Amino acid sequence: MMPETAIPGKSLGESLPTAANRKTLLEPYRLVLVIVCASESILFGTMLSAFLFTRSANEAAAAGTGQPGRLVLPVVNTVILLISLLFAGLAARSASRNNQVGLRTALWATLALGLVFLGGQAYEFIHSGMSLGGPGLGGITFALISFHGLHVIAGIILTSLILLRSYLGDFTGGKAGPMQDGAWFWVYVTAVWLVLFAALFLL
Amino acid sequence: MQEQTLTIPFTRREISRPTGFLSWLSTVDHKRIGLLYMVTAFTFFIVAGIFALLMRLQLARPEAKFLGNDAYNQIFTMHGTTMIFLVVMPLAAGFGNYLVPLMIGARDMAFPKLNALSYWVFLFAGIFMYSSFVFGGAPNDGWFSYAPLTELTFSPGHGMDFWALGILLLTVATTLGSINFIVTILQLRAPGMTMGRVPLFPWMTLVTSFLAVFSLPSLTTAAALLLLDRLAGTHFYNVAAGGNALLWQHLFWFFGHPEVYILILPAFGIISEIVPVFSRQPLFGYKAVVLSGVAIGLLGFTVWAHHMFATGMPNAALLFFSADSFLIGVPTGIKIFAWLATMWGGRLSFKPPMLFAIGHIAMFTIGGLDGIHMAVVPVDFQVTDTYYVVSHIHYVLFGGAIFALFAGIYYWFPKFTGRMLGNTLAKWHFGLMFAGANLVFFPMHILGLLGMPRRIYTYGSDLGWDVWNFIETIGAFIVALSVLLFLINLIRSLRSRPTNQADPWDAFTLEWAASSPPQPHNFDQLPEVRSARPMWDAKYPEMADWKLGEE
Repeated sequence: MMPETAIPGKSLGESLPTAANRKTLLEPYRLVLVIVCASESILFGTMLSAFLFTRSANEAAAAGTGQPGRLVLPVVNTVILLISLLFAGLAARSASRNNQVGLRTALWATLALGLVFLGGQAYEFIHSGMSLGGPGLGGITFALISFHGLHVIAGIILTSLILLRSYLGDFTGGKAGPMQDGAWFWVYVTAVWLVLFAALFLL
Repeated sequence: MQEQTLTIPFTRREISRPTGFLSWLSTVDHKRIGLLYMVTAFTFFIVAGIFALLMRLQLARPEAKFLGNDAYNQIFTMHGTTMIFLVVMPLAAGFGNYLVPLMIGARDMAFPKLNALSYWVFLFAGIFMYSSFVFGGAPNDGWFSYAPLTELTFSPGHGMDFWALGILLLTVATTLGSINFIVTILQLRAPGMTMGRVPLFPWMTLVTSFLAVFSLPSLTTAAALLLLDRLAGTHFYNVAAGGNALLWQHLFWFFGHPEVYILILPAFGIISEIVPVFSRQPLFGYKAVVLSGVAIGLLGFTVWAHHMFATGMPNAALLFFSADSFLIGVPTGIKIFAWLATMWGGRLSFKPPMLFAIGHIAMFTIGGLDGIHMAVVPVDFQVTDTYYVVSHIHYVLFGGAIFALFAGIYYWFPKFTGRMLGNTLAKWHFGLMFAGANLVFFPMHILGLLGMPRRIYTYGSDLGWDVWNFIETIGAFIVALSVLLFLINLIRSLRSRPTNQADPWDAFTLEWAASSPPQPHNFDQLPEVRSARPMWDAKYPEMADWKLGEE
């Protein structure tokens, strides 16, 4: 007949599955991250398609984008983002080693470098001479950089919340899950930037 | 009937439910959120339905003066946008929210607070879009808002800004909800419930959620670029300034085609639940039905340009999208045949859920065949942007999705409320709705072939379109009457004394193991899940699926 509990030998409360007692391939929040990154990849993909679409229809405007002199600031900015990623990884490692001071320092560094990156992006665009309304690639470049920038801001907010929680002592005892999730998101944001960099400055 | 030795429901503990208005505002219970979605979506259904009646009143007679062109444009745009984004999608989300955790034997969704957030963002987006009526005029460029009509030069005023911003908010709500469904279905299933034993409705919800997560970003891009064009002076879609109107169409339809499968797959899931129960047989070809749903989802991403046959694409593209659109009819056909095979040789009972399910099958077949006709490129050249397409979309969306959703309402109403909906009123509802819907939408085939374009607010009296338009208006009011009967049935049933039957239909899946309505924690116990019909196995152990070899 029908068993008293769904899993023999376990109490009623433990019988029903919850996220805590399930064996799953990915932790729930990690699965969320994978889905979100997959979805956002379609977002950036469609926007990149719009960029390539606009570029192929605008031969004259496309000619001027790959100049070396223009590359200095974007390359510096890219390096800044990569260094911030390094610190994000260090934060995750500090958390798993229960190094609270190291954790907080690394998180502050990630935050600060992310903000510098954003500032650099804004500066680069304003001084590039591209206009939103003119012919050429100004508009779609702005769209791409802004959408990426919004994701950087999301990462900065995420980092700030993790920083706040670290001050509240939520990450003592080697608990590093949120740090790893945050670091992976930062990896994603950086990876997207590398692709955008190639499309915007190297094509 | 086999002697049942079980006591259903399997929930033993009675936990007091929170009461009061504020408890509904702060709820994170998937059942309450599901009901919030359903009630809100149904309200939008009534509003958009009234818009349809207004449109039909204007079109009943040639050169009518009931609605001016500007008012008509706003009304048909809001009718379409509402029905798609504020009715069918949230109704499916509401059913999904309420039923998916119950059907997989879980206690709630994976992220209850995120679930609540999805609902409130959806509600806000709907109210935001409708507020446009008061702030200078609603969006008026059609639900798929083709550029460059939507550019500032041709659509001054803020209507289209409301549309684009509202859409962006809705994409957020839907994406969050979809993520929740994916994690819930993949990670919170009851012990023994492998993916091969998940019932069809959660399965289709899973495929739909993946479709949403991968197609909505394209809409986000399209709407964001439109907003930049309108508000920041860019020229993405503005042909005169070097932009490209086709960019909008590609971006929109890359979302738009998967979107129609987002609209219909949950409906298919509901039918796949109901037909077996009222045929007293297991679903024929469970694996084929599941895989066909997955195939529809995957193929759905590859056919978008069949909405763009008349835009001057090269022949190779026309060939590919045409052939692919034929191909996508195959998995859909598999489902139809599976339902028919399920009914074949079964002991059919024509209770209201089954009536609407059969109505769905009949009407969706007609609408689906319309789609196959239009996959023939020369046919599409003739009928694109005419009422032939309007006929197709309403057969599949009204005859398909709405009929299935009503079937679901009649089927699961006892679970949600502990009461049954009245049988006589239900039959009148079905009969009038079926007759009325065919009366409205079938003549549209003829009108389309006679050349009547979409989105016109009136037409000349010498075109021969007036008789059919008049008949359609009568049909529309018959449908409206049937909905009124449903509302009367709903209110009478809600005011009747509850019978609290846990399993009134003698059904097969786990949600019927909970009480009616379920306790806040859903289950205290679950039957062992050893097949796709765990309740059947628990109630009739000698005829259990896993014993008789049906896995």
